[in-house]
Amino acid sequence: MSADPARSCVADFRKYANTVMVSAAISHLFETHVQLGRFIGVEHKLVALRPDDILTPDITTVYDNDSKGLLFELKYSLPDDVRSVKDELMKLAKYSGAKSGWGTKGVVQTVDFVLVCHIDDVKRAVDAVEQIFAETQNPFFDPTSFSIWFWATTVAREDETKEEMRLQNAYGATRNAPLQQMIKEPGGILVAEEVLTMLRFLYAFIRQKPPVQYTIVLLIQNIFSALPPPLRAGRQYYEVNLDLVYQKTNILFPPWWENDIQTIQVKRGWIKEALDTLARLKLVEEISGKPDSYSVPIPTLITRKPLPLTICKRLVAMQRKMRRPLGRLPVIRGVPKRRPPGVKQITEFLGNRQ
Amino acid sequence: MVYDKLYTARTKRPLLKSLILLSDESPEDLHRLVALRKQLKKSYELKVDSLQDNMFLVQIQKEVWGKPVSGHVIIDQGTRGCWIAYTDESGYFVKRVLEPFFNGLYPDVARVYFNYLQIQKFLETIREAYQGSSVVTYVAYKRQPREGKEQPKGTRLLWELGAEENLRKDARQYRIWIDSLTFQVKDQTGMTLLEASLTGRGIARLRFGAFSDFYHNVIQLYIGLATRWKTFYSERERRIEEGKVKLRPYLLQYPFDLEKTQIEELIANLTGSYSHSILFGGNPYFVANLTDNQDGSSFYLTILGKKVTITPMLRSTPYALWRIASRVQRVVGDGEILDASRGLQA
Repeated sequence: MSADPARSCVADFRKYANTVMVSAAISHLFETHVQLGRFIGVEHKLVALRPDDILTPDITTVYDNDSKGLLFELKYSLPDDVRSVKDELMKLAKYSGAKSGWGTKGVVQTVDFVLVCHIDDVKRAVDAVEQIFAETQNPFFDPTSFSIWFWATTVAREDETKEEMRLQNAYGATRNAPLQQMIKEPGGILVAEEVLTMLRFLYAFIRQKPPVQYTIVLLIQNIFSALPPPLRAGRQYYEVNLDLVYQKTNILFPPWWENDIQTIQVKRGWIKEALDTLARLKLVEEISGKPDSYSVPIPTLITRKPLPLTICKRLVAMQRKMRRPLGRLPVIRGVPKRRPPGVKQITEFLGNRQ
Repeated sequence: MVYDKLYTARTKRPLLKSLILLSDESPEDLHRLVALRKQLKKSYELKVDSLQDNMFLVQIQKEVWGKPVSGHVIIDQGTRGCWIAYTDESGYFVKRVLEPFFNGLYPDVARVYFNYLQIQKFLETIREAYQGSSVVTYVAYKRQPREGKEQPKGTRLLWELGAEENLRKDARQYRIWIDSLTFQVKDQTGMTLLEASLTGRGIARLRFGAFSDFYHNVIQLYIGLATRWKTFYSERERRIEEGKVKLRPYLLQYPFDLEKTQIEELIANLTGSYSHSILFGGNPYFVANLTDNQDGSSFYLTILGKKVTITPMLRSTPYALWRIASRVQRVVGDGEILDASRGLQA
């Protein structure tokens, strides 16, 4: 992990953006390779044992004539210690109970699972899952049906400058034989060029909550800048409320989210967190007496530096300020080199004690 | 017409320049548009008189190196969404006063940019218009070896029959930037009918020939070309149609792989006009989100191999999309512009 908190904040911003790309890559892989099975959907709703027990993995697919399920979960970041990673992975075991909602005619007999994470986190993830399986023998984490993938960039050949992005296997396997064959190839699965250049922009979010700097940059660059009328003649202020910003941000989320009250609340929560943080950073102003209303200057932030870096530096400065105790900092005075006049020598005190 | 008489006699005089601009505003509102911009308001003095038939006479003055430079321009707003600014003032006035003035009016008034492929196609249209006559071309352009890291030096001139064929050959070996294309139309007896030139920044210049010919066979065609490309850049915003996200990206295709040095140069060039966040700053796969500071349009820009792809977001005006294509080409070199939107939905 980077020692500079602003740099690691920018790294998280990029990790999230590129995890969104990986989501597009896996969806595209199933859409273009029919032999791998059938792509059901992104954040498709599955039902566990109880009908109100809804599961929404990042990507849902079925294979072997719709008789087997394969789920993908994407994590842009995992905790720094293996113990917390284990806690995080244990939560995934709920997907073993995905019984219905697959949209297939017959019954889905088995469910395999792939966790996709960043290369920085893959070692901890593998260590964690190995420990879980050794300790619990939970069949969900069995390496014959549970696997961990990561994504990495490589240069195709030394004499070429063109970069490639590949999905690679780090742990376990899936019983989807054609897919397993592809991921086991040297170098793993090549991400299609159209994913890297265009399809990655179909959506801006995955189901995992984005870091706040990601939502802030997205709002400044793509939502606030599009507020009518066009900007000119210096900075102008617009009064917006959470509903309006949420409505405009909607186009960046997968459209099927809209039908679910719970996910609407989640999305609104992310936007509200970003707006409130912007207010704390003094980039927008909360309007007093009007809850969830903000005065947004357009342009919101003018800088020649990359926007995520500027936002991250401000976030780090704000956090440092919040951690500092209130009031005047205690001043540590140095020992005077000369004894001030009228102050007795220490030897006199010692003499009295004796 | 007075210009016919002036430009059919061989005398030394400034060329007649026609600047093609895109705008939905009226030249009558120039005072208001200037008042909205501090820099223009401070530097320029303006007088606008309405003539007949959607024509406006504009007197513009600006101090250049402490000396006032002024001149007259006639703006023709006859074609919807287009302004044509005519002037027979000096090239110095056009370069130092007129072009910076219109550049400053962005995004209310937008310049156009044509690369060598677009100009080449345009020349074919002119050849069709002058069937039976011979068209001689001279091309001025800058070229740089593909691996070159410095800015190109000097302008290369191809001054011969069929010069654009040599340009085409150079385009396969070098990064090139078109400067201007001059052409001479001669009838079967060898008499010159028209001598004119076109620049990549949308300026058509008449050196010799009847203005009416120049207007019908060059200006009108040039407007047609500008309008077609404006349509190409229009309605490319991200949308949701019938519950599906629709993207309408376009791309700049090069005959060579783009390198890290060119990407760095591009980002350094764009930072003044665009807010940017880099999503992937690899070597050389590159992804960034750009927001046009003046216009509010935003888009994703990716560079991979031989392609630069621009994917518009929620607000993306044709002017902003044309401008970013032009900015990329000014740094990387002229490329082929293609639509990349087929089947992009989810």
